[in-house]
Amino acid sequence: MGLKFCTYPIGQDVLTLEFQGLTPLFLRQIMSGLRAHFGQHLDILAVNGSLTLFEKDISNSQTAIEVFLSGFHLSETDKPHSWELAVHYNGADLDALSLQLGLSTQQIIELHQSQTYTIEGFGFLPGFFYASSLPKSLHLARKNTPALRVPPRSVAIAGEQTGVYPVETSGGWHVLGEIAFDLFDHRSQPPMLMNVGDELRFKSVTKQELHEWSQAWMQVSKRKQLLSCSR
Amino acid sequence: MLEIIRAGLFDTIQDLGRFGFRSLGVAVSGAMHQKAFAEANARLGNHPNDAALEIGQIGGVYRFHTPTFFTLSGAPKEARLNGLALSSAQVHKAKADDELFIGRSIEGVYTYLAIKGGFQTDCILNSRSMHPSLFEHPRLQKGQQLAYESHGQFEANSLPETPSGGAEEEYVLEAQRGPEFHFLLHPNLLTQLKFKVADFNRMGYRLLPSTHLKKSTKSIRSCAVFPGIVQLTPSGECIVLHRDAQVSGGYPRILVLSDESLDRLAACSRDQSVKLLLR
Repeated sequence: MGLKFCTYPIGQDVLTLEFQGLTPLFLRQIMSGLRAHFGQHLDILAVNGSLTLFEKDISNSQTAIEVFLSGFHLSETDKPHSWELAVHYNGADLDALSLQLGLSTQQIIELHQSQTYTIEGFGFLPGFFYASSLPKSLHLARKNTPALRVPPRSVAIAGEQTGVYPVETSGGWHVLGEIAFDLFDHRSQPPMLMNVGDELRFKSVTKQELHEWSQAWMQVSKRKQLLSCSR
Repeated sequence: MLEIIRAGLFDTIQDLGRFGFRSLGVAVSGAMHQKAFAEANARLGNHPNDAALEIGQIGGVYRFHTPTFFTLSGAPKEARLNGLALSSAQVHKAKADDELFIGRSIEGVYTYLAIKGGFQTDCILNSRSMHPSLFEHPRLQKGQQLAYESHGQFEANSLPETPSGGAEEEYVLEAQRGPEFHFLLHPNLLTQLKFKVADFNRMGYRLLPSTHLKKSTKSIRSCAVFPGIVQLTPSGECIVLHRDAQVSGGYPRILVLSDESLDRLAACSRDQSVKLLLR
């Protein structure tokens, strides 16, 4: 069956491809396919089931891209990579969340770990990913007034998604805890291990264990292995 | 080395920008006034992507530690080398220990101090452009030393002076319809209204008034944005995204400004009147 999509340019150098009902993993396959066909350097942003391509005069290639997509075959056997992040659940917003959600902090922590999330895309800040789907009982809109200072490496939730703040910033998501290291490392190639379509789980660790994780992270060549899910 | 003796209000190092990493949430950045930036590099015979010092509305004091050639472009500011006034649009020679004073903008905002061969500062993801999310400090600090290669001899390019970054009575910003243009209830008001720049930074410019631009009640999910996109906020304000803009946003994208208009906007200070022109 062919892909269902529509395309529209936004100015001369930006082209958006909107798909109907595609999983992030399928979007990732299309991203790889586009890069293989139109150039590995092609800058592609995945947001909410759409892909946006940035390239000088890309709108001139709209027809060629539509032809390419019409003939594109999705692979049903492609398996997503699975990651596991160790979290020390000591977040500044746990108590407030507990009141707002009517759950104990322990229940919140357990619910957050109960799910396998899917990385839908990146945005906001370098390495900030949007992962779905948060258990329904944890759904809560962003804060009305964003916190002025969210510490780096904060694990947070908002709406039906979870993510990790890569650097200190202001932000409106509810902070549950912290991870041990900077996931986005511009000195590494690629700067981010995780990709669109990947699966992600969280597991609770103590402050001491968090420290051990940060030590292990120093070994750059072992990072992928460190975070890969063994299951 | 160029030493920052006293930092300006908003000094950063910029080049053409950081491309190819939007997929990971990395903003493009780059010189706010690309034309003025390009002009400075051209005068020095530099590569178009050579990094320059971008100076906001108020400059600082800078000391050259080794001989080189430099030039200033963009918004005119009072400039003195060892106390002597410098004429703009020329290439100047700096000796070791020369001190450069840059004052407040006479017109416009962003001024470029470009140096022969460009500044050799930290290069992150193929660009030296300082973005707050990638650099330890969002702007240059007193005492920082900016590396460059020393040059004793140089034949300056004689280029005709093209004033850029100066003030005009009213700035006309050319725009195309954005993907959510139809969210506007009264689209023709956009081109009739006289807007004013309310406030701005490297990420974006807020235009006022907002009252006449009620949007329809529809909301949208996050979508791709980039420098030039004009967002309509729930309160009806227009925000023009500029060089340091995030890669995605949750507001309707009603317009897309041309590159020339982004430069034109970068020359606007607070309270500047602007008009929108739909192409």
